[in-house]
Amino acid sequence: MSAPRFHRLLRAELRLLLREPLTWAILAMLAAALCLGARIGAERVAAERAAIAAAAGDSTRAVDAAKAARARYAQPGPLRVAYWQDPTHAFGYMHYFLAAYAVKPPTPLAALAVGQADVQPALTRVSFGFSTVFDDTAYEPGSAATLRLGPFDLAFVLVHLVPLAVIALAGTRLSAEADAGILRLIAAQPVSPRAVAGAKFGAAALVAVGAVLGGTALALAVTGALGPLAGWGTTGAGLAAALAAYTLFWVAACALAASLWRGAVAALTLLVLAWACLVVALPAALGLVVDGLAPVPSRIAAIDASREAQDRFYTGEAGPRIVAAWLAARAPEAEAKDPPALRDAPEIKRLARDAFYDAALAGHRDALQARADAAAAWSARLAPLSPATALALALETAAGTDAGRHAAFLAAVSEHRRRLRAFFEPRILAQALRPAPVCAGCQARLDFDAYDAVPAFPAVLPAEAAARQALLGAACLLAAALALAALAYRRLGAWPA
Amino acid sequence: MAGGMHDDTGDETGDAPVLALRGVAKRFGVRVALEGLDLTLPAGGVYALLGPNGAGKTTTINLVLGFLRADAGAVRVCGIDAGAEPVAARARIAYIPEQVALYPGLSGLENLRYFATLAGLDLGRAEAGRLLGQAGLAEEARGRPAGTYSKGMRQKVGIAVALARRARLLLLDEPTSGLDPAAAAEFSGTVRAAAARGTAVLMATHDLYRVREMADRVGVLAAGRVVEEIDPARLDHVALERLYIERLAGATGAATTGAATTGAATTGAAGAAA
Repeated sequence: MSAPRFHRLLRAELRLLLREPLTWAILAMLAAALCLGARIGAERVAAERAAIAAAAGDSTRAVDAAKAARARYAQPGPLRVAYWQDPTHAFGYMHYFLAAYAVKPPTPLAALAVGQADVQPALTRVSFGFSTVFDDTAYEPGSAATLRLGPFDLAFVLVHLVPLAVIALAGTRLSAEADAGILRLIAAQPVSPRAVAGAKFGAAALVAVGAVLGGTALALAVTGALGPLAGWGTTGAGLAAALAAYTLFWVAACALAASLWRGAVAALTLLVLAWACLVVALPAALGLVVDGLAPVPSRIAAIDASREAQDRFYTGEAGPRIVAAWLAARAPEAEAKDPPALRDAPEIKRLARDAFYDAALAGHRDALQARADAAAAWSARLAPLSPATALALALETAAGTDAGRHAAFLAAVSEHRRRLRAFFEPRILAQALRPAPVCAGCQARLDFDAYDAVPAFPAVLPAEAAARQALLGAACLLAAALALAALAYRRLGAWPA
Repeated sequence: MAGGMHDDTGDETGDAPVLALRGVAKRFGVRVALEGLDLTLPAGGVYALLGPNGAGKTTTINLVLGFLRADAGAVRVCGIDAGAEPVAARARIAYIPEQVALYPGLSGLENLRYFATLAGLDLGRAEAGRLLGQAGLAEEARGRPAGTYSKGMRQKVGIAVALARRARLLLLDEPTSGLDPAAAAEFSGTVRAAAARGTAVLMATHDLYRVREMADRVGVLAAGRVVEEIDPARLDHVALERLYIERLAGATGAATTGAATTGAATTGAAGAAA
């Protein structure tokens, strides 16, 4: 068939499709769902940004309060302030003033997918002495929230509902004509079934892809859910391609169902079964496979080990020996001072204790981190097995709410905690060994004032990973769509008798 | 576009008949649908296939349309092998099924333009309206949704599609079934007019009365073969019906006696030819 003739046929099919009230009803429901999903995503992102802004404000206020207290106490006076009220005391500052946060800032496309964000934190306070094992102790990743289908966000609409909309739009093309008897008159015209199917499903694809991409863009624009997109062009284009390919996959599935020539009811039944398998059952099965391949270490065992370490440190003779060994290792010159007094100093005991806990629980921390890394890696490897998981992972990675980013975030939090400890520890030790007040007769005890030099958490946006995953998802989905289309094309060689 | 169905731009082979079936056989599993069917239809000829349900009439039409491929023999439309090149063969065929089903949400005019587009034609509204008028669809009905049409009105849209196609061969499957007498008479006139313009017509039907009005040759099809060929002009309705029933009974009886079938059919055909 010549291109102009096919073009005329495609236009005729488009007119036919757009004349149907059902088409507009489906498009209206899809637009409403996309807007609702975008609004929910935008609200979550706004809440996340507000929490991060509040944390930043908290950090700034803590520094300002420390500076004000230092100015107040760096005056001679009759009283000496306690170390937990004294910002010139490095240990006091570290424990009682410092408000350090590790943040996982939302990406410009964060409104696309809640992903793991409703069960995993976007920010966590990096504090000392309270959590012995888990940096995300305020959260419980294994909560019952994971048993839900997920929040009603854009990703839910795009991954779960778009296929149903496409099935409603294109699932009975050709089959309904066959049931109504119209196909007989169509088939009697000098046109091949491939050309007719190409025009019918091509028109459905144009409408569906236009509705999905246009609706998503419109929903994001209307709800103001998008952040500044500079540097995210590749990701945006990759996601658009992935969404288009995902929609085409389902249109091709409709064509394949029609090519069986079993009628509209059979086609719809088959397509809904395929949706249930590919969008619900297979992702759930892949989740189980990931759990099997990357088993979750027991948190109870880690908590138990933490309690054992606490018992060991605080009861019997082990605690003092641990402190003495730590002090001898970190400050050999302490022997020349008054070691018993130093060993009893709260800051020395706390630093020695935390170092002991770190060493005692390193295996559990490493196992948890390794599990998070392995789960993210297996998820990325297995995602292409289902079009739904391929698209979901691309959306979550672009939104920055994927498990991989959270695993990297947890590792970064641990690293930041070590960085902070490395910043404070030598200063605390130096003050313990060579205490020097900021002035003679001052209310303040010591001279710490490096508040602005405390390392900040290096928050990162996963732009590269998002672009890579979006392009990979688009490639996988396009390949799957083309495979289905080729299968349908092969089957549509002749009209049914 | 002229009002006729004849397409002068065909690329058919030389002076080939519009439709030629030679020794056509078709089986569905163990069931024989057609066996050694021969049929030649020149331009302007009207051939009616008479036969009971399951005699092979629809199978013959499906073979001509290229929906089925013959197990043996050849089906040629204007010299084109309908099995090997079905799209090219269908370019010369206009087909009106027993039940003309249309898109119910589209008007008759829009349905006609849609089917014309399928056939590769770019039909304007005025031309479509003229063709519907020529097919006998009242002007007030042309813009109404086809879902409100009677069978006769739908059939008129089918005729308009055929007119638009200017085909060399018109295939009709039970064309007058379910039509009221006036509509059936109108339809007969349309078919005769098409034949007068040079369109060959092959129809499958049970309607002996209309057959006599429309056809210039009648083939009685039974058990997959033509057991009798009749010139309807030489018989009145009653004689035609009697002959039809006799031939069917003969074919059925012969079929039950195995080898005797061939003899009975041959005798019948020879008798008719004589």
